[in-house]
Amino acid sequence: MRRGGRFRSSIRALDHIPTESMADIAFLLLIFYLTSAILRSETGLVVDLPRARNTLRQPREQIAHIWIDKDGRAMINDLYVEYEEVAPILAAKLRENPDLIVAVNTDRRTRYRYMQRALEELKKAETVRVSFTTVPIPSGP
Amino acid sequence: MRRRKRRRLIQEIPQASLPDMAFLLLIFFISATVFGVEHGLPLVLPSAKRSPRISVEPTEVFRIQARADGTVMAEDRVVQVAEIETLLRARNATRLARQQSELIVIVEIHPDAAYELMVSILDQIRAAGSRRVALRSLEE
Repeated sequence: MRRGGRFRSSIRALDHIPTESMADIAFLLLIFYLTSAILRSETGLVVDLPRARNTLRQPREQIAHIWIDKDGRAMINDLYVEYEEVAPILAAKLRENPDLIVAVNTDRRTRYRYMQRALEELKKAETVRVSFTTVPIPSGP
Repeated sequence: MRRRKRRRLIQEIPQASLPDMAFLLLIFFISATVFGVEHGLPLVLPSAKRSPRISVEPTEVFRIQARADGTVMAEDRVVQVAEIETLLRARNATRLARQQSELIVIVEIHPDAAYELMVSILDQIRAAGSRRVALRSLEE
């Protein structure tokens, strides 16, 4: 269109940020979180985990946790248990999933005697795969 | 004369609040999500049914002892925990050069020793590449 002897540009700058796709983006992110989320099912004990450099990442979906605090109290499924109860509980879990990894979350100040008792119970339950949960130390600068 | 009331029906579901709802749900899931990452030192426990008892020669064993006071002994001499990796690597390298099998590491821990000490020793053993490890309690 010619007006005043000059052509007007047909491109018009938008004066607002388009927000129509905002809902789509939000829902996409939501679906991502829904599919990848593992909601907290266990709180466990407050333990100060030891640090280690050569740790392995463990598949979370195959892990059963035992917590042992610095005074030697043991907890499974958010319940305090006696050491004698550990083997039957774990044996039941192992029957459901034979590939289960038992992660022992022990406070770094705990005496080894409690760990030894827990390990004996793990052996009774025929646990094969054990992981000593640690806080990884980042390697190298 | 009566005025006719004009009531226009809305033809569509109002969607203006949809992004708000989606973002609220998103914030909830972001805050409640724990991604599946767990770190640990793995150990395979012997099973009474599956693992038969084996006897090993003393020369095939690398013995580490953790005392109640925190001192660590490897091969009957006091060492720093950080030295274990180098010692074990050297011993294994010598054995491999002679075409002998990898050493079995026996870690003996005093019942009163701190669990952290055991983890530090296992960390060193893993760093040295040894996978044949046995845990034992040091007699009181």
